[in-house]
Amino acid sequence: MQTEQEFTDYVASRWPRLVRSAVLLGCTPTEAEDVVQSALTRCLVGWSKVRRADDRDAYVHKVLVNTFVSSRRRRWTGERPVAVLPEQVDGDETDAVDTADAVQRSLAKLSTDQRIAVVLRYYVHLDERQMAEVLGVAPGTVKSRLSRALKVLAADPSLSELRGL
Amino acid sequence: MSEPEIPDLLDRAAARVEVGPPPIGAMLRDASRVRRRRRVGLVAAAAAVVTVIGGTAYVVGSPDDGPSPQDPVVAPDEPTIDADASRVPDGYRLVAVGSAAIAVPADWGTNKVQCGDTPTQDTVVIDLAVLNMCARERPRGVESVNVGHGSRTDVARDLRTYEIDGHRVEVEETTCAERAFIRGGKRDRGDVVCSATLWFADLDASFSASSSTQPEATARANVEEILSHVLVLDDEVGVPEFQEVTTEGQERGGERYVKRLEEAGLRAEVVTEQRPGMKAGFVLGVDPAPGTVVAPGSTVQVTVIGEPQGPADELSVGMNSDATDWDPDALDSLQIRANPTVRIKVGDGIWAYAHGKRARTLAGALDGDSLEIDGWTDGPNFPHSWRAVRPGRTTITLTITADGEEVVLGRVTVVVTS
Repeated sequence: MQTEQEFTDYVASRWPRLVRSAVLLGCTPTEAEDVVQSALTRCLVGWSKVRRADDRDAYVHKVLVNTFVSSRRRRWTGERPVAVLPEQVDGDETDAVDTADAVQRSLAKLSTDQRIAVVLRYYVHLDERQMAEVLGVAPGTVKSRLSRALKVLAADPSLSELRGL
Repeated sequence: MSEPEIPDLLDRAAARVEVGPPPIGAMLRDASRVRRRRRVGLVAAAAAVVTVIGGTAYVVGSPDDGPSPQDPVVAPDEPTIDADASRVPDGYRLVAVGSAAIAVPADWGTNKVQCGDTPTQDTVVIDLAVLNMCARERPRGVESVNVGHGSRTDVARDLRTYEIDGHRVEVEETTCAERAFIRGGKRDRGDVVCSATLWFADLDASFSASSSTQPEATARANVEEILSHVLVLDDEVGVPEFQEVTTEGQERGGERYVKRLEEAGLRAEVVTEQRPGMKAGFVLGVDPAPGTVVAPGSTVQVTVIGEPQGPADELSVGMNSDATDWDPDALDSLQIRANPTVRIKVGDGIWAYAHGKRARTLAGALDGDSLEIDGWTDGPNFPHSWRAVRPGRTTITLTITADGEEVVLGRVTVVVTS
């Protein structure tokens, strides 16, 4: 019962941010909820590992990234396409929608590895050492992925007009 | 986008995403299911060792040249272990066709389906020959397994081949399909239903698992978990199914079923029930139910329709009414035989009809004055059709005539109210 309580408290506080991380990684909003649900279920099955982890958030993101990557892999091997209805947009939200679209379009230009690195560094705010742990790579690899990603983003004209907003 | 701007842009993009409440209940349930699966995996591994040890103690030969497989040769002080029982985890029960079995959670139902084969709750589906096809959406979160015979049907799916307890099995890759539906006038995101079938090459048994638990990853895991419980019984067998797809030769259904029981190494105890107007020999039910795992030589009670015991068993009779509060089902032969009382109102009609031998001799005698014969002389049920004319109580005695003798089929008391 203690596990379930800890889990419930953790999910209640982190759920929205985890789902949004998954959207930034490239999921549709509904896919994002599915991926996060699967990842958190995995975490719950091995909750003692989460409890023992030095950094709970980093551990949970590690599971989330693995779940996301394996869900992508399945999608490319002939899974059904998911039809997404266009969102209803009110006029006064247009600027925000433009920003969101432009950011998503920019992120889409990155490789999966680079995109994961950008989200973990600049949205989840993990440092390079934590990222190396989450991604299972050397800190140097994290550095080079981030720097290549930043070059791609800097050269992207679709975001240039948003600068300074 | 330069580095200092990125966190802010990501935050603003992310803030646009509307997030629903976390499905905590579903996660807790799914996690406990996965933990259970892991425990089962450990139990199965332990059981495999037991089977090998047990196997070395068996002397297998033909029935004529030594002990049979049912008579294990064991040293007197060696403990005997029921390998099958040890392979069924706590809270599970076995369902088998022949010697191929699957352990399912004990709280799963049997044949909890609507519209032919759409499960409405967690269930085993076995021995369903008659399908009423209609469109019904499978509810979310339902697991099921169809247990039966047959082999591969969808040649497009990839196959894995491996062995279970020394028997070759083939398993389809798990396939998921989205079922779209309309909710509140809008096309809603359809639930995903995942399924896969496993069959034995040599045992004429197949197990088809499906899951509508969301998300898809969980449904896939559940399908694989369901099929991970398939095993081959050492010497016990499943009670055979009795439903037959064809209506041809139903009167020999009982005979055929008894033969199947004997082939499965089981004994039959046949009991009969009367179903007036129906062919004798048709199987009405078996006990224990099909799929139940029993020891060799066990007795299965088979209920079949008995030979007619007299003229009244050679036709079916029914009664119906146009009264507004009449149960939509007509009274059948057995209900009429039990001399029931029914209630109708002044002005309502009530009539009797029959099919089978001597149906033309059907007659109804009235005792009471609240009913009168319906004057529609060309009607299909004249002269055994009546109309309620005044409040009171009238008993209708339904008869046929056999060899000049009147045979009573039943007495129906009709209470007429205003």
